[in-house]
Amino acid sequence: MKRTLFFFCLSLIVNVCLSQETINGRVTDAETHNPLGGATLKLRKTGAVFIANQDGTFSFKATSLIDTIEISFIGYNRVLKPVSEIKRSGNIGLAKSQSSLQEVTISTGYQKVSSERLSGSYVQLNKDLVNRRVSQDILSRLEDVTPGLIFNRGVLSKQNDISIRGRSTIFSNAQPLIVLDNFPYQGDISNINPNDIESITVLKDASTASIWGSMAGNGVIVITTKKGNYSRPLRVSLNSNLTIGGRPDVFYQPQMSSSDYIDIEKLLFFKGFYQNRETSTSHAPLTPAVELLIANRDGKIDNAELERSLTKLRGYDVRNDIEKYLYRNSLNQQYALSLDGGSKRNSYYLSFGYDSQLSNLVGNKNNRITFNFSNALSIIPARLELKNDISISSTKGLLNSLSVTSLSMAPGYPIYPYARFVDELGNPLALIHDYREQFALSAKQNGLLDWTFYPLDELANNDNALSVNDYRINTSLRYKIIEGVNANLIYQFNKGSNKGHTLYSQRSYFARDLENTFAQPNGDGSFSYAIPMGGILDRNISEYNSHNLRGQIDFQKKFGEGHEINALLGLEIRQKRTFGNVDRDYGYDDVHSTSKAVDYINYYKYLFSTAGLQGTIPYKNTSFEQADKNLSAFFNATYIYSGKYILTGSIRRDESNLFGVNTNQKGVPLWSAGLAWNINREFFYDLDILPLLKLRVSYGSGGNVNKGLSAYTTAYYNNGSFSSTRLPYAQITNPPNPELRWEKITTLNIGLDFSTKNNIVTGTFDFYSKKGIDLIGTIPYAPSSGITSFTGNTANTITKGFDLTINSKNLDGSLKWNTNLMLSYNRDEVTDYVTKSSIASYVSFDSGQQAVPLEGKPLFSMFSYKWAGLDPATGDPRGFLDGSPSNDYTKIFATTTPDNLVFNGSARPIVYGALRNTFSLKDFSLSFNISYRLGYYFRKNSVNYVNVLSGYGSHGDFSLRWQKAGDEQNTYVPSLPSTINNNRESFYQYAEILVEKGDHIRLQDITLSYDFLKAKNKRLPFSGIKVYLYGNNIGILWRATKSGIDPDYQFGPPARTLSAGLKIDF
Amino acid sequence: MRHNKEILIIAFLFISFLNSSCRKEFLEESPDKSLLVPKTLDDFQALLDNNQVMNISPALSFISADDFTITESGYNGLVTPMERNGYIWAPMEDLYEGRAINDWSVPYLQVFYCNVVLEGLQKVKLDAGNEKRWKEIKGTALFNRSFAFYNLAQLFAQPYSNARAKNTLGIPIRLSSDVNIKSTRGNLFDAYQQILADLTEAVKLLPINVSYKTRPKVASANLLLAKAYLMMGDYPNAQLYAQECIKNANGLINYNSLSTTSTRPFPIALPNSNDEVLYYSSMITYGYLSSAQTGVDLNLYQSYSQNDLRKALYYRDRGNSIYQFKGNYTGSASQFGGLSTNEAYLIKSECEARNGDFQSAMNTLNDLLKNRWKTGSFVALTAPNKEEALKIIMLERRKELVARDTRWSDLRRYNLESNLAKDLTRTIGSKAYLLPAGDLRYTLPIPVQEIQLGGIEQNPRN
Repeated sequence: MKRTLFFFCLSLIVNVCLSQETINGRVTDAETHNPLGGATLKLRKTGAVFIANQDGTFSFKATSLIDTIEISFIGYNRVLKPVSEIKRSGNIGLAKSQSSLQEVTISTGYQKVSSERLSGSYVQLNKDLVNRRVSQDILSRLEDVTPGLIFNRGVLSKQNDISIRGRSTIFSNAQPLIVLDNFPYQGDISNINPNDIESITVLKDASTASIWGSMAGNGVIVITTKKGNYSRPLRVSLNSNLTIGGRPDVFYQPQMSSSDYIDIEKLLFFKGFYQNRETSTSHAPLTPAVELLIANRDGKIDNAELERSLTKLRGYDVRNDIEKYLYRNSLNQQYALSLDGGSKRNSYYLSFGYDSQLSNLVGNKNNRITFNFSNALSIIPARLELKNDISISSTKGLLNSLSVTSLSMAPGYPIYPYARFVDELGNPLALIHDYREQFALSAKQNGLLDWTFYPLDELANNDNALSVNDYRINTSLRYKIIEGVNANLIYQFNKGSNKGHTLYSQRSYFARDLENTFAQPNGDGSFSYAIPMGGILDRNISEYNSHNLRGQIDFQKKFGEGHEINALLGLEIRQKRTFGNVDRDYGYDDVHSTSKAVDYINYYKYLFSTAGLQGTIPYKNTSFEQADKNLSAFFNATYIYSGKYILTGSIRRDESNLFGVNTNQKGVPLWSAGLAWNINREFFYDLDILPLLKLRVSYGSGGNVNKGLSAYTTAYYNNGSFSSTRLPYAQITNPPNPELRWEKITTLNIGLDFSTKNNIVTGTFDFYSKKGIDLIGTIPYAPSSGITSFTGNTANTITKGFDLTINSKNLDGSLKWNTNLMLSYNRDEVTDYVTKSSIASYVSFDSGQQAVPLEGKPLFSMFSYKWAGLDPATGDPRGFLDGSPSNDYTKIFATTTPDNLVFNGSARPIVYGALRNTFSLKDFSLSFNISYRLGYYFRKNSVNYVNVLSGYGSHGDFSLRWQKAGDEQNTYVPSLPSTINNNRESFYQYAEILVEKGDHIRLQDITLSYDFLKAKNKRLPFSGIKVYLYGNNIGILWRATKSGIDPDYQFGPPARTLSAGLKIDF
Repeated sequence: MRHNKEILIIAFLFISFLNSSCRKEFLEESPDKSLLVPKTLDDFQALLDNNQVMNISPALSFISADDFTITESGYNGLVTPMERNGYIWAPMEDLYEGRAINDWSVPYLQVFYCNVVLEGLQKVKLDAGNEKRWKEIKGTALFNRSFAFYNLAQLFAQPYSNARAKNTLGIPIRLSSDVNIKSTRGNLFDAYQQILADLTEAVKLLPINVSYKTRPKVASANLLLAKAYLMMGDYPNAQLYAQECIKNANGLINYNSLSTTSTRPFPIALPNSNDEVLYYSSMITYGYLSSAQTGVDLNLYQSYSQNDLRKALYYRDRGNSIYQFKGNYTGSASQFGGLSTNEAYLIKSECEARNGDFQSAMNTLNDLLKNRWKTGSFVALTAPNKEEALKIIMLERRKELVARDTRWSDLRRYNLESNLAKDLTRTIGSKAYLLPAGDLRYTLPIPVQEIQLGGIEQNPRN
């Protein structure tokens, strides 16, 4: 103690004596000892700031040795040292920072950039996050872990329908661009094995995405595959898992009971509803119940027997058979083996994958084999490098399942609810299908082929196969011209094919039906068949090949004190050709692979028609060829000053073979600019609690190509094989539109990155405003012009929102607890759309094909008719007419305008995100992800009386209908009308009462894993084993609706799955 | 220094690539092989051969004319407002209740196609090898455009009267494919002048014979000219072109060669059957036309003699005094809306009578009718004077051209002559409807889309 005091006093004296002493030193990387030119040195007391020279050296005059100096550099941990210590030893080694926000290298598909140098908005999913889920495809790995990205479900959504920050187009392609390694991926994304993926980056704003120019309008997803590393010993890794899934819930959607269905059939029968079908000239089918009623009417069975038989039918529910015979548990298996390593001059990565999928639809399975080989060769070390990647993916699928719609009684007539696939003894039963039972049964007796339809035989006879192959070869050459200037040449070849094969064997209903239909009576009781006996084989082939070539120069230079420029300049040429054909063979013999000729020219009378309907034998052969060509030039530059200020800019010009456009109009220049400011590097910055604080601002534009349009009159050519003159003809699809422009989407993004001390809490906040300009839209046109609607640049939209991500380390002892929160808010509005559509088209847009935009409202808006309750006297649904309840639907529709419709709100979530908690204790790890979607509305299905009274059956709400006065207190389901009333039905289907809030919170998945590490278990023959369990689609935790419906899956949520897996690193 | 040279070479390669003609060629390829920008004669022919566009004619005239009636339950089953309101000549201006109607838009689609072809032809270099085809295509486009304008004028403009034509609202005469040009109605005189001028030119360009009924020939243009002149009341010219037509046509069918019991007695016209068909066109389909509850006017039905083969060839007894029309010249279920030689005989005959030569008129009529009666049963019709002749010819015209779109036009022009004018009545259940001769409702309203978006003047209904 005394000694310390003594030295302290001494140093004080020395300090005073040493005022204005020059201090010299050098800042280096603590590990590699490379100089860190541009590092910032800051004296805390005086606030003086110095920058290290290019060689890392520095020199300054210190006024006091008791001051503390702070040394910082991008990507390195900040170091605080007393001046006195520096004076003793001027060498300062900085350790690379481990902060996740600082370390990340982002791939834009054109370059790899340190995240610190970006001014835009992106999300990077590392290997761990990509592998968190168990699945056979890569896209689903993005869900609920990518802020701002949502999988659209419900209203007008398709499979794998992704929106990044909302939708920025109306009628054009709305899907983000998917880039695999260097180029846009041309094949089917399900060909990619997720085990081969190193990382995924989602580029969200103009500054990061606009390098992709006219394809970037919907955002960009950059997928990077695994590669080997130089100077690394061989590593072998094996990953295998098994996933079991349940059957879909066939009872999820309530359905009219068989008993109610039969009651309606009785009602309709006595009204004479089935007379037309009974006397139909095409032997239109009738259900068993109606046949019984006819037999009773005709005196063939007495009343008692009728009731007995009907009672039996009332007890059946076809959904039991569907569940039992058409569905099963799913079973997926996944095996992935990879090897990687490298010498000083060579690195490699090799992988094999096998995936097998036994779908929960009986008859469907899928096997995928993937192979990847990637090799890098350093030809002249640090000067010339050659990389080669080869990828092969081959999928074979069987699609033999029987869909419920294929069991319908007639086109448009769903299956009757008391149908059965087997009798009590388990013998297969026939369904009524296409024709009346007695007609179908009599065919065989009359010398024709059997005309009955046995669903279980069909299931067994189906022979539908699909084979998908995809090859990718990527070669790149990198040459260092001089220090800081590299030239890259990258070439990629893709080839893929998709071959479908549907063989309707002679035993299949399809073949028998067609052969019978075209059977021609010979007059002596025998028939000649215009379609030869044998199977019918449909082949469907589509292939593509694509060439991509890119030349690029990267430039990197540091100069002066802390100045740095990174730039790239390149040219790219891409061409994709797609071609294919469909053909059909009749009289196909599968044993010898032969087929027979048929007469496509002459008309044949249909055997089932007593009215002399006729037709030609269906001719199915078609072919197509398409070409997609693109030419692009791009330039991107970043200027960094002293690690604090980052200025980015990019410009790109795209040209494509848009049809019928002058060459000079085929292109569009798109640009972006951005600024990032590392505030924590400022000399005045003194918040120890927030060692990282970065502000980003970017603005720019991306595009969207709509190749369906043209500036010239364009027409489709048809060879006329189906026209009555058989002359080739052309159909004008597009009137001339010299004003046609590309869709443009501009984005302003303001972002903030922060991190507290020791990265306890890190986060990112991004606000954005996107404008869709010159969006392609359709407006009605005066018909005398020759067109009734005009498709052109007719609409604008604006989308505003924010994405927030917060990661926190709540506990960091032996028990670790991390939380990741993602919150996205997104609101869009159509700002410029002159067209007003009919009221009906706004309320019913969700049953149509596409959005019906209305100015001032979100693109997907839920509208409804104002609801005035059921009429207490009749149970009619009522709306408002001049402020009072009314059931004059025609007048209600006539007086309703878009402005006085009920606007419920957006039909797509406005707020969405996920909350992920991960706990780890020793080698155990548990993680569960809760996702949420808020602020939107959906329309419930309910009973539709037009369907009920057409004998189609309908929703189970039928049993909740108004039946007597007073019921209106307890139900909103209208009474059964006496006759079909279309207006009453359209009013109820689109009334306010059926619209509900879609908000819900879902426990998406749970994963539990255990790691055995060699470090701890010396006897372990492997370097590590990971055992994991994963449960997916677990269930809804909370929903706003009381109806029990899953707003995202009105027809039934996906089945729960449970996976168990093993990952071994040798 | 050495490296600077390399950079220069690469930069040079980049720049030359951007400007090369290869680039243009690369981007020139069509994105889809089945797509075309119409440029060649083949393309233009393909556009005109689109029979789903070009060979379609309006049917609202059929619904509003007096040849056919529908039963009460049949009327209640009609689905479109065009049929329901059109049938009872409803006085409302929005006759179609906001619906878009093909009777207006399809003819204008034809005009658009023709204008695309006519503009495109100007850019095709003429030489000895393609001149004949070029002329035929131009003639076809001019004919088709006139056919569309003629059909529109029958529905959407008032009947043509020499005294008022220049002050009568016409129909938009669009002569350019530019969809941005605003339509104006102009006057009816100019509209007919355009039709006459185009057809006169078409006559010079079209071939004598064609192998497809969907393509017009000289006789087709002759007949359309005769029809236009007839509507204008220019009987000498109408007679002239009707004669020209008969000269260039292939004669008449003797109905004795047809089966009266057949559901479809006439040969399928396409591609090249039925000698009487000069130009094929089928009417827009409405449920009214094919309904089993729609039958011919009973007085008209009874006016056919038992030996008149048309009675059995044209009608099918549906019971309850409903005689459904089955005698389509299309040979199919579609109603015929095109041109046929028998109409030329009727125009020639009527014009001969009107021009004072009623003897010739009766001879012309008998030339036609002797092909319609059972062999050996036909007794030539005679008339004592012009007025009687005209009466006979008018009735025979109605009987021969039944279920075409001609009756409505005929009523319109007859109404301009006080002695021929006729009030129409209709009943549905207990309700009666009246359309007095010359009523404004003889001109159909223009669909509301055109009025709202195109801003042209509407036809008054009352």
